Amino acid sequence: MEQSLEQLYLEHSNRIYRYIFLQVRQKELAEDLTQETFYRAFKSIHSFNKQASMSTWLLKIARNATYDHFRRKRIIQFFGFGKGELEDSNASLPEDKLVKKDEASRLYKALSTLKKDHQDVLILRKINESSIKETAYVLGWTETKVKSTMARAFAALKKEMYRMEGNNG
Amino acid sequence: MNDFDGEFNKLKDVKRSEDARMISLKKVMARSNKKKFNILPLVFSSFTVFAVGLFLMMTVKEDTPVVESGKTIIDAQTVHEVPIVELTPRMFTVEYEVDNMDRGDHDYETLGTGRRIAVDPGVLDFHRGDVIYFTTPEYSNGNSGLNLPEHYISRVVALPGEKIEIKKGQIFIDDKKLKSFYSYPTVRGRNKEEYLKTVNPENSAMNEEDFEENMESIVVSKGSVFVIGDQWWRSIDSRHFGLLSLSKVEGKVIGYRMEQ
Repeated sequence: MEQSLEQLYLEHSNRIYRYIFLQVRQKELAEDLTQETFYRAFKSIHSFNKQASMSTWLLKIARNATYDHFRRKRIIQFFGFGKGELEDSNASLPEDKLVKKDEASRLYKALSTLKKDHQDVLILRKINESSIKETAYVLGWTETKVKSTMARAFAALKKEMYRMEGNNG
Repeated sequence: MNDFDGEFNKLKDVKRSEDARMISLKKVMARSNKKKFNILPLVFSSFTVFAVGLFLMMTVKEDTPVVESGKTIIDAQTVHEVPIVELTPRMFTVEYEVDNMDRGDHDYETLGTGRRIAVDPGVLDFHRGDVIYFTTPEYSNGNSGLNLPEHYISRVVALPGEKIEIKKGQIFIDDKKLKSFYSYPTVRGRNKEEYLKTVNPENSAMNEEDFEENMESIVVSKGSVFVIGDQWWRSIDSRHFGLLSLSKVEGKVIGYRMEQ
């Protein structure tokens, strides 16, 4: 059993880490929440009922762990998700920056300005490449809500990207 | 919809150091193993607590209701541990993700844990201290991020015909001080003194004043109850939306469903 839990971790942890990192934008915090995710997962692995794939199930736990973290800090109400974290000193360490000075970092920045629902759906659909059904499962939404939010999120993202382009000349 | 695909692809390469990855693995395994030994006694003890509680409820509740003296009402029989129960056919189970009942153990926050909450819709009359599951009444405090779930869980604090008042963070029922673990504000189960000792007042979520909430008296009308979530500052309850009509109550929360 232990062997397989370890394998589970090795197989999935990078993907979970990436998902969490894109939301919290701090390396150490992302590691902590990744640990929390796997800890919770191992604890309730017996209740994993194959309703979703293992990786989707883990994403859902990761989402809850991240959400709990933000909720504890009451960031949700006061800053909107993530925005406050971007200015955090940790976030500007060089290794935390992804790809500097190109579109990806622009997108990275633009994402952080969006509201949490929009970030959620974009990260899952576009970066994790989850299906609509999987996204609905992870976020606890209906598939219709995923689709409509996705459309709105995309529009908001586009607007933000163009706005940033305008500002930077 | 294909715009920005390239940029999204680049974001897929989030760097993570191999060391950090392995350290995390060790930590998770250590933490999981440590708990392995603890889980069994934990389950046993909570089950014992439940069994004793059940026994007390059956025997004591009928004969000696909540103790009432001149100045105080004591509810010593409601326990804050969440029992683990076997489902009966009429019960249903739900998931819950709000931390308004958190007493330090993520109480009732089951989402993502695999646990489920057992609700009994057949209970028709409620006692003080009962935890209930209900349709969240319409409520807005002007904060668009409030985002209340469709259903909510809280504890019954005052019953029809009673007058409830909160003075300096203490509940009074019919002008009598209510003594119980839920009659004053807590943060993850810690009371004012315990909480303020552990935090830096500069950036803590709660300061002394927040623990000294006041609410003018209100009389609970027939067909309704007054509910408060155990973690006051995280809870939207009768202090905000007023009396809860019993027509909104879906059932009594019995505990966590025993895992098969």
